[in-house]
Amino acid sequence: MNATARLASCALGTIAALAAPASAQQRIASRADIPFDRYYDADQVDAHLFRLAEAYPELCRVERIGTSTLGRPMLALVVNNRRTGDEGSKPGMYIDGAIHANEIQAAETVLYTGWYLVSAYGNVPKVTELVDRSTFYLLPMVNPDGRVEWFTKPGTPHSSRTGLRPTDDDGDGAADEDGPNDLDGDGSITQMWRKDPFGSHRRDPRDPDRMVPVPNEPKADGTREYGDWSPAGMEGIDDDGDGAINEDGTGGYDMNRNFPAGWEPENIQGGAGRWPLCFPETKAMADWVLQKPNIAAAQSYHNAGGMILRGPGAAHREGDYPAEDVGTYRRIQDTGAKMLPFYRSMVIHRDLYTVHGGVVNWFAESLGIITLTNELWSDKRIMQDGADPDEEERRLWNERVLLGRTRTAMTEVPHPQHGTVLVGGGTKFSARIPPTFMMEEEIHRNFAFTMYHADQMPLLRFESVEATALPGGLWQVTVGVANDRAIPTRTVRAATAGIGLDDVLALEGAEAVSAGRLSRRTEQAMDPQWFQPSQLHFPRGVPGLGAAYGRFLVKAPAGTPVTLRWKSQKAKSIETTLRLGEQVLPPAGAK
Amino acid sequence: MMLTPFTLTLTLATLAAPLPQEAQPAPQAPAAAPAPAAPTAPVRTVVPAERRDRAALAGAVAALQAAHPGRVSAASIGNSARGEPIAVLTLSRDAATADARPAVLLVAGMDGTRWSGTEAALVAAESLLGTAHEALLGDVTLYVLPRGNPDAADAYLRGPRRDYSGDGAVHDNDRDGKIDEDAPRDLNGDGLITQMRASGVLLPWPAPTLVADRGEPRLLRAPDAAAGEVAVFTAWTEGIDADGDGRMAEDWPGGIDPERNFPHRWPEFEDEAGVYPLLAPESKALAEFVAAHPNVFACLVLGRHDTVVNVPDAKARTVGGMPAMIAPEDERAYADVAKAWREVVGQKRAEGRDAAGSFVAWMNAQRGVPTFASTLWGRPDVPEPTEEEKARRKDLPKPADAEAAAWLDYSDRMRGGSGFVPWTRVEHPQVPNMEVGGWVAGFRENPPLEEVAALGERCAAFLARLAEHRPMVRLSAPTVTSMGPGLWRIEATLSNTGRLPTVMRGGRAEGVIPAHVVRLSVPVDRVKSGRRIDVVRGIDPGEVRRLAWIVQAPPEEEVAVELLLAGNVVERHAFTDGAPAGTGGGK
Repeated sequence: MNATARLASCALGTIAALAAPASAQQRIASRADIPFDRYYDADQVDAHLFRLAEAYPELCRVERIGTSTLGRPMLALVVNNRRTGDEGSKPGMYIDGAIHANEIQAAETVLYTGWYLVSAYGNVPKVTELVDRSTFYLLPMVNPDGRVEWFTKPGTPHSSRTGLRPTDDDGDGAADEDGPNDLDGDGSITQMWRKDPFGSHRRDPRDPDRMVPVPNEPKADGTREYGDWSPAGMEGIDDDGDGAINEDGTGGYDMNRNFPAGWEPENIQGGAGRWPLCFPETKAMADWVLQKPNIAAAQSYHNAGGMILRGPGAAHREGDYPAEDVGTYRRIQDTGAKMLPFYRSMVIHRDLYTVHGGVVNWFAESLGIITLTNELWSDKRIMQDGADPDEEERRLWNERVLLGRTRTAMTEVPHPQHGTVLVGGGTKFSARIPPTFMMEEEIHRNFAFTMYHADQMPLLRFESVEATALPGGLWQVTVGVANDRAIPTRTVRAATAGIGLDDVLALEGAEAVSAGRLSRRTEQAMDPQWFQPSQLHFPRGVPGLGAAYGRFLVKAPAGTPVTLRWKSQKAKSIETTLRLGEQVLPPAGAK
Repeated sequence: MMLTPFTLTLTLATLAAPLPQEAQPAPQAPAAAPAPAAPTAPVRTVVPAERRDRAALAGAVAALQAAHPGRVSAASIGNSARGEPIAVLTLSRDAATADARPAVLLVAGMDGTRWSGTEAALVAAESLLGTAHEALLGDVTLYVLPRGNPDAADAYLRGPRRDYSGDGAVHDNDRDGKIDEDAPRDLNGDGLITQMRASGVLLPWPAPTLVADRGEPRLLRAPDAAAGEVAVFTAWTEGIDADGDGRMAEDWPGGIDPERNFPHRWPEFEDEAGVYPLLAPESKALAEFVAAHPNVFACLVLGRHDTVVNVPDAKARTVGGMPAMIAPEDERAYADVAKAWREVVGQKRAEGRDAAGSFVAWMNAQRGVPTFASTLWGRPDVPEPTEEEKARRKDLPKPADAEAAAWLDYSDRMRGGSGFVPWTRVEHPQVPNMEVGGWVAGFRENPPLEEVAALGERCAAFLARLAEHRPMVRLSAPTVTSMGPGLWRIEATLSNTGRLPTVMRGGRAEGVIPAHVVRLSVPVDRVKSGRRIDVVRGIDPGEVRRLAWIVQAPPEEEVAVELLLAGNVVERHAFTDGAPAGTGGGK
């Protein structure tokens, strides 16, 4: 192309670009806009769910799935376009957050998911497609009591992991009698230092909020140096006079160890509770999920660390993850690692630690669902150079980028046991969660990743239907059903353990004399099903990005219309009709 | 109804005179325990299984309450899947304070077939309320759950009889999306669900996998290829293929089997184990009862499991690292009690089933409450065969399953053949050559009716022995020594003089099982040595723990050492200025 033409086409391209909708890169317009540059307490999260349901009644509804320990309603948002089918007729993706209430950004991430799906519906084709063909079950707060606790009580980034059932952690016959105490009234529970003439630390003269360790080794002349302060645990006093500080705070269990997949009691797994699903929150969630056999994908959000985790949680459960399923997991996880900078794809027990009875284990191993847990936020996002920040970098981040907002001043306060203590330091916002100005990006990327995950849920079509005439008025009808997505209609785990129902290929309109499964479309001999040949069972379903084949021998006159229907718990049923001898669907190609 | 040998036996039993009042000694009477004294009240509560329906059970409970006012209270621990209340009886000297005393829990009737456990439990309850055991109920409370699985008992009573223990929950056994579409059927009208077999089964029905044992042809077993055997029979549960799916009797009404629905070694993917532990309301109610009654120090379960004739292997562990049943440290105390059972009750044999997901496994391994399971009865000895019989058997090979053959022997020679339905041709809509036959449900699971009362009495005697084994935790009266002005050394021992631990190893976990606590009244900053609040999670029998403190106490201030359990003070020793409180001070 000569230079003039190139110039002309360039200009035309520019004009075309200018004419393109200016909204394409603007924020999604919504009838119920929700800012995602801030954290919401439990009441606000619930209120947002109701706003979305009110603004988009044709696409979503709020469902109360149960009641928390302290009597709060547990609210979920179900997103489905009723016009394209009932909720249970489509593959479902389940997304929850904040079973550990301190992992607060999980709730905003789930809330964003609901908000984006209903708001972008009709405007963003990919979203429209996903909402039309799937159902989304969104539970932003599995532990709403804990979220209230986190927001209203002084705490650390790690407190309120538990639920709020009073629990006797130290066995002394009293429950929750000695938790941390906010001695300096700054709204945070921080590290505590006791005044100690033989202390291991001193305050940094350049930075009074920083503690510097004193060298351990004697000096060259044999004398030792001592500081003024020694660590004394977390901020608190001995409330119950037993000599221990903060040994029995609110709650004291871990609901993410309470699920009945490889569940182990307290001796083996701390926090597991007295038996599986003994907490109202875990039982309500489990009962709700068990009523939805169409759930084919799941995500349970946690913080922190920048991880995309799959099970097993314990080495001896490796057998629950057959190779084909692992392949499905890896495909999704590896893509996630590319969509989420600084996140790594990991296996819980191998790369993290042993977990017995976790949500992700129950979904994957007991229900046969392809389930992942994202640990939101990585400290690598501070410097964004691939490495965790060192001490200098952290100080700069806290002081200059965050302008000191996640730190409280170190203050000396009297202490009944230690005399004088020094408290202050990081607030509950100082670790594990993004600063508000970095929230939306991380939330969106995780949301987008779960949409990629959801997009892998089975999508079936008839790849081929061939009817060949045989002598004696018989027809050989060979059917191929393809799954254009990576998640099979039945995981190998589900098929092996006998979870859920088989897929069924049904033939109606004529008598099937015999039927069987084929391993390839062109296979000569079929694996026969002797009984009820009109309902051909496929225990392995349709593999991800694969196909399943079956054959019927049908006795009927030429021209008889027969209908074929593929029924699957985790995929939308499909059907097609052909007239024997008059119509043949072409193999592997046009729909 | 046809008079098969089974019904004949039962009819004879019901025609018999009122049951004997004295216990019939078993063939080898145990020497260790004295025979229980003749009960002071007639044992009225044993009735044939067919009559112990809901109303009869309620009637028996009401009769006990009426006969022993103030000492028996009845309540419900919850409802079965079908909404039947599950009764629990509390036996004590004073119903109002029963929960404050250490207690034994007796559970029966978790299995549909084992009606004798329910009967024995009722007899035991009545016996324990009698004068022979009067002192016992002063110290120890007894909780009795005669029928933990009412739905299964109802199904057994309604018939046709089969070996089934599922509750009434709605459940799709064969996972075909339809519910209860193909239940077992009593094809030969004998009131029983047994087995069926057919030889030469052709496609599409399943290929044969079994042969008749040449030594005892009524028994089916896998063919011995080395002996040149080839499979002949296909076997099914008695029934037809009602829904045309190629399977027979594969989806029946019910349920979850509560004895496979407890959290320890829960067999997750077994049919009727429930989709999660304690989903069955029967199991949940029992678990909640146990959790709400930390005073229970031991338990006896009459049912399909056995831990007293064959004491569990204390070295066996689950894949997660918990004891499979009991830990090695608890083995000795446990085995002692198991031995007491064998001595008192005289049971020599037991065919216990796998305890995965059972109440007994959960109690022992996770709650740490010593729980003893018994089948109540095992196969009796059969007398030596006659010369004729020996001659007949001389040329036959020994049956592969000796125990099953012995049961048949017992049934044939001592029970009129009522234990096994002989294989008989039956018309079957789908498979030719079909024969119906097999074990009679309940025959091997229950002793003969006339033996049940005596076994119930012996259960009572065992429970009295078990009560004597109870943990007895005492804090010795502290010795107080002056170490200087206002400074005292306090020493005490905490000991368990009983013969059972307070909590077995599996239950010694945080936050779950209440522990003993030793507590000083002195503020912690005046406790110079030792812990002000000392939590003791489990004390073994015979264990003595030495506790010592150094405390500062100003003159005339009372210092108390308390022993608490589950938050309640059970012992209190106070002293002032070194002398026991109230006696005045010595310096």
